[in-house]
Amino acid sequence: MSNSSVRYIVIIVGVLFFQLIVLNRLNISQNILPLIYPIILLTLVRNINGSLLLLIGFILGYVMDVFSNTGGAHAVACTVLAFLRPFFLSSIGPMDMGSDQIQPSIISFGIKNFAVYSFFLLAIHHVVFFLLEVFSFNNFPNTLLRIISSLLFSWVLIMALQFLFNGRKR
Amino acid sequence: MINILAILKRFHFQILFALLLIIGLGLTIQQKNYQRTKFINSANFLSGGIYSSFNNIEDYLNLKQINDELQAENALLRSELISSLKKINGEYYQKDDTLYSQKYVYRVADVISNSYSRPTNYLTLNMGSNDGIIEEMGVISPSGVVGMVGAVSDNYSTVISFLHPKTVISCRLKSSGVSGLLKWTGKDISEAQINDIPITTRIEKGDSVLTSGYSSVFPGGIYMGHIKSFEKDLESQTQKITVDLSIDFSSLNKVYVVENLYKSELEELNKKTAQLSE
Repeated sequence: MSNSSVRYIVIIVGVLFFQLIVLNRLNISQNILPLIYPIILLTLVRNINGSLLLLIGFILGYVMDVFSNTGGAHAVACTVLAFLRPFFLSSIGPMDMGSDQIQPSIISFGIKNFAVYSFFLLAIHHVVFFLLEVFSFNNFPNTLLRIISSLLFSWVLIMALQFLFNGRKR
Repeated sequence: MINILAILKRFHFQILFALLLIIGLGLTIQQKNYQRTKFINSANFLSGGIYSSFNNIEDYLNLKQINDELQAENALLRSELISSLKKINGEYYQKDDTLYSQKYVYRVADVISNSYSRPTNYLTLNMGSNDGIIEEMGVISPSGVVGMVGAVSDNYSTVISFLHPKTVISCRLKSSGVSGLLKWTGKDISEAQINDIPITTRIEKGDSVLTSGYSSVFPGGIYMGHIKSFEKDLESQTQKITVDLSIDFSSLNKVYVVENLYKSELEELNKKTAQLSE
């Protein structure tokens, strides 16, 4: 196994642990459930095979579902994210990239581009997940509040993680 | 045939997406509709093991609170002992009376994972079929009903929390004895509702709400909370009661799994009655 794939696996396990053992168990509030694990899908290399990305997304989401008893809500949300990622990458990604082997991050994309890219994909993921979690359109304003507040928390946390791990190299 | 292969090759990304989407939606719907089917859940070996090892750490932090809770319950049980009852009119109470036989068996389990802030909530316990846990057993804590066992694996089990839209518990009001179904409101974790109480029933604020014991899952007389408020609905001639739950779902550590030894007999009887009335 190459060095970079070992690094990927360490990151995936670390992020999942943080999500499941800390964020999920905190039960912060009924309206706030920060989901940071999509960062794994957001930061996979730019030229990754689309079908592989879909499969990784589905499996990652399913692991979350198994741990949090949500059936397939995470799996569907991640699959949708993985499906839409290439379109976002081609439209928001920077033009002057040397190599396609590059990982989306605040360094390679620039803070502004990465912020926009992660916000929109995360928003789609959250809308799908929280709708499937409630599984009804009753009390939709409440669900919307849940989506927006959770999204803001997740997004800020993901950006903070990016600065934490990439900040020094800039 | 070549055409089909060509289409498959060209659209394999979209086809895979559709396939995964359908599987995912299927899993979601299955879990929403059939709570007790054996879909893979947090009772499995891996997640159960991880949760349980982290729970060991948390247990130490909560020891004092657990102790306090158990002591309070001990005091309550002690007050119900024969020795602390006064004999009335020289009547004699005997504990191991042949008139009584054991009906409920309790097992103590650790809560290793607990969600209470989602629209549908589950708990994971560190006991499974190896410890004699089976599906649809009741789960209670010293301060009220927690939920009902959903799926069971060898060493772990999941509990469908009372904080779940599908959970209903048969309850009665202490003063009037009128019974109804207690259901979570879906918002506040300390609030539940009883709908469809006849309008003629007199309801008093602060009255206790107890389990009725009509179901084969929970023993009767477990204190659930007190009446916070009630409204009359003149149109349907019913009243809606809001109950302040005594149980705090955010701090569940030890729970009791209740086994009703007469459950199968009761269910068989119900089945026969249903057949007769057909």
